[in-house]
Amino acid sequence: MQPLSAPLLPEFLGILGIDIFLILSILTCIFDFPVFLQYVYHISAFVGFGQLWINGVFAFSEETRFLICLAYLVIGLANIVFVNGYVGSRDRKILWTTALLCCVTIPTIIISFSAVSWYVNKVAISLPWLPLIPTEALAAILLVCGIVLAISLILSSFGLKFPGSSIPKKRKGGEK
Amino acid sequence: MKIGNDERKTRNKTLRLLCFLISALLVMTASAAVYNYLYLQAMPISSKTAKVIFAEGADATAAGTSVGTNGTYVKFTSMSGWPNATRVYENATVIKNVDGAVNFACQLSRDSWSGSIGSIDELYIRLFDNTDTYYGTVQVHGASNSTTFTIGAGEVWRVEWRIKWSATALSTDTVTATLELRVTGEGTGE
Repeated sequence: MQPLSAPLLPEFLGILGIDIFLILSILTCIFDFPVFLQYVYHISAFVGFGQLWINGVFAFSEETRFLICLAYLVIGLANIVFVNGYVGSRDRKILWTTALLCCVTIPTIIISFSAVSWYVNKVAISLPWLPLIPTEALAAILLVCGIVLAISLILSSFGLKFPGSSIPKKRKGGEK
Repeated sequence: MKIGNDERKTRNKTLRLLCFLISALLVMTASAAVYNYLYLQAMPISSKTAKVIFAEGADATAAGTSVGTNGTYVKFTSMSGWPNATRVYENATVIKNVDGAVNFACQLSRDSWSGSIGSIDELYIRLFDNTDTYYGTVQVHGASNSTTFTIGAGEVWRVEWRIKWSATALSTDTVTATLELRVTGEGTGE
């Protein structure tokens, strides 16, 4: 069975934005950005999901939905560029910066601009079959997300001492 | 001592990364599902003119041909047959492709039939293409009850009915048959 070809909805840009923020949270975790920023990005993805939900429930006009989703996507892209620039200026590792630029920043920007162009020009796109999940399951998924995030937050706030791991006591004289 | 602290940091980071990955996977699934709902809501069911339609043939009056609104179905209300002899309605109805550019793949088949089926010897239709050349047969009374064909852009195909009752059939015997025309991409007409 062939997927249907149909013009994109403005929410597609919102989904791209959500994915960008999720990637950002993972990247900032990998590149040792402040923990606070990692959570800000992850929660931004949740906010994006929330606005997607609100768009569906309140049925705004298509133009409004497009502007909201576009703004969200642009903020996500700006943050990708910021993270790329920050990694470059902080670590001064050309290899990492170039890799990030070629593997994340440029492809993300190209895909985002293409998606905006497809939407504006009403180009019919065949999307893969997306899952049809009952709305009750959606609420459960979000609850599980919240729990996972809370666990992660607790681990980050209080630290986790594993058996066998030695946590140093601070000594006088500033020895680490 | 610094090694232990680094080890703890790495473990915390790994755990946090794992949590982010799980959470990201769940959020992506949920947002794709929401998009799917919005996408389904945004697809209205519209109405459009049929491209392949029925129309009256030359024997429409004799066969009691009644073409439905927009040509999407046809009924024959005064067809009859003779006992022990074949009666032919050469042009009871025609199938027209009113699209000027697209060819449509069609399937004409028996949907159902009922009545005094034990008293009928032959009941079938024959299809003739745009050049009035015989194309195929669909038996209502018999096993070969379906045929597929492609009707070209602007073409008109003739439908011929052949009826033969058995020698012992009574004037009170009747049968009712429903045939179905499936047009790929255009729905179904009867």
